[in-house]
Amino acid sequence: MRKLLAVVGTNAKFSYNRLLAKFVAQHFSDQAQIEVVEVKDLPPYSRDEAANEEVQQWREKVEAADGLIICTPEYDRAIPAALKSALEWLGLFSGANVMAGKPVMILGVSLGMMGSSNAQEDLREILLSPDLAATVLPGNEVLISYANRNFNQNTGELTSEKFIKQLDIAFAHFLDYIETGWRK
Amino acid sequence: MKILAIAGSNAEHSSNLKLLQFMQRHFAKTVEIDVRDVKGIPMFCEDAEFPKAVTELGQAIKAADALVFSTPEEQNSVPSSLKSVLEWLSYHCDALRGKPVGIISASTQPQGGVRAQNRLRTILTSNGLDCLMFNGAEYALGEANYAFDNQGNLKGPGSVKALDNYLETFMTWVQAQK
Repeated sequence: MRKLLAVVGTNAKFSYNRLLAKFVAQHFSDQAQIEVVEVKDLPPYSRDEAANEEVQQWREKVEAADGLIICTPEYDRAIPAALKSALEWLGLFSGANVMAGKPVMILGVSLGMMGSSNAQEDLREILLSPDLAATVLPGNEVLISYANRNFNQNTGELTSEKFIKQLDIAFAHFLDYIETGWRK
Repeated sequence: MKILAIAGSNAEHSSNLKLLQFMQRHFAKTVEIDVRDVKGIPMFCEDAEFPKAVTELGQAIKAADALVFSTPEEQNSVPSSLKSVLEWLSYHCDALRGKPVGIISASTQPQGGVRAQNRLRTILTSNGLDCLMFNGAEYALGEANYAFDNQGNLKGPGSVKALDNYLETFMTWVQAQK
């Protein structure tokens, strides 16, 4: 089984994107070994500071994983600073780029109708920048909108059949993409 | 006219801060420029207490006639240090709403950070921040590590002329907004 990380792209105490990361880890547990990881305890990125123990662990986890599933909220039409900072710690200026060629699938939930689409676009550009040069799953956008009616408020599970179906298709594509790189 | 100029970097040696400090001296006879950076402001978290440093920054923004952001570029986008400050300013704080804002950048890359400018423009015009965006001129300083002399002055006459043009166009536009 492939080892994947489901990254919670926020430092907020409550987040539907954390619920999504947990749902993904549980829902696909028969197909991959998925660990939910947080960015909330990492220090703010600085070029002048060396990576501390938390940062080292974060970098090692990413390096060891076969792929990342990043669940991002949208703050002001971009990804949250907490997630951006965590990504900055992975790049060239923190030692070596541990993201080079790493397969990534982008997911996101929003409270409104947009489904974090602007943040997903921002994240895609960041992951493809020379500093990270990740391998991002093309297409397969999953833009989960209206979080509070698509998640069960008691169990925290994603309940929307439409979005679960989209996730199933995108995840199958992601596993295939990790194996083959979709080269023709 | 009073301009508040913010360098979007938390680095010890920032060419964006250097650029703004040069502007402060170079345009001293024309306009008052208050220069700051974003060092030491805690990471935005919606559960944390609103930092005093951001309250104070909000007051300085309100007191200024216009703002200029000089942004570094990290991973083709805005650095987390600047994004975090903007998240604070969009959360329980209305300081930037309707404020005339210009964007410039400096970068060690030849392109001068224009991609960070694009993302910053998108962020500053989002409904949480709602700035009044200046689009009449562009200024991006490329290869910034070679652009300044030992006194911190911009070396290239072309770079200075382009900066003169930027600020003149910007100030004319700010006046017209009143």
